[in-house]
Amino acid sequence: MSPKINKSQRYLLLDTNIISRFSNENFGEKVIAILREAAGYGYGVAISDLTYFELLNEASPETEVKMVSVLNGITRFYVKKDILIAAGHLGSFYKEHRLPPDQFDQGDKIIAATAILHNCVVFTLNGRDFPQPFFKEIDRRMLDYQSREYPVCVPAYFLEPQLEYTSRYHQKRIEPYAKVGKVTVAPKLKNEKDK
Amino acid sequence: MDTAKKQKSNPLANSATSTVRSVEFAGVISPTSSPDSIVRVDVAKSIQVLEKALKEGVFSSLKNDESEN
Repeated sequence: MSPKINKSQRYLLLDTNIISRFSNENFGEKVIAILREAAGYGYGVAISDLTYFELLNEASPETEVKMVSVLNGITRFYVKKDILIAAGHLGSFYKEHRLPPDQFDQGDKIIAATAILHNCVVFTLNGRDFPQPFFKEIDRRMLDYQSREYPVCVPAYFLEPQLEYTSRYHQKRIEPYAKVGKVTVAPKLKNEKDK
Repeated sequence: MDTAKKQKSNPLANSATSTVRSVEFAGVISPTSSPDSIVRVDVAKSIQVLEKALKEGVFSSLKNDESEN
């Protein structure tokens, strides 16, 4: 019998930097413990298609086979057109908020847009990739582990999307265009067949 | 502190019970309810898969950039 899946559960969206540091087993064990704790609270664990790509990027054929098998065993959000449109808009929002453009790469915006549209909590080693006022830190854990020859301690952040602010800012931004019938937003995708 | 109190004071635990809301953003509606925007796997199985891969060293060839924040 397949396990029962709660379709309304909230997900922890694992940023690529969390999984890529699983190359250190000691770090991975600490993260697994946190994931178990989160699951106990009712969270699901998920990745974005973007992370799927980033972990396979430049992989050897041997690594690719193993990695695909692992990644297929984790809940995954597709990067579809709606996510890409939202990521593009998020880039504009950051610019209008005078956030330093060098701080974010395009992948960060795709993961951020995924978190916003699916109301996920982002779990990342780089809190700056998910800036205020669009995200709010709700928790932080210090992960100490043994690297090759020295002890390492890094903060891991839990960031929640600020849906109300983002939605309100978006509406305010498009209002002047809507009034003159020149809405520059992308069409709603709700009933679109080619999503 | 009993488990219920401990959970109440834990922000991560509190956030888990947040109602999943639909949001209109960037001209699109949250696809939360759309079944074709997600491949769902049971959470226990996801964690098990990650743990097994960790033990088997599947991630050992990944770039380990410890200088990253």
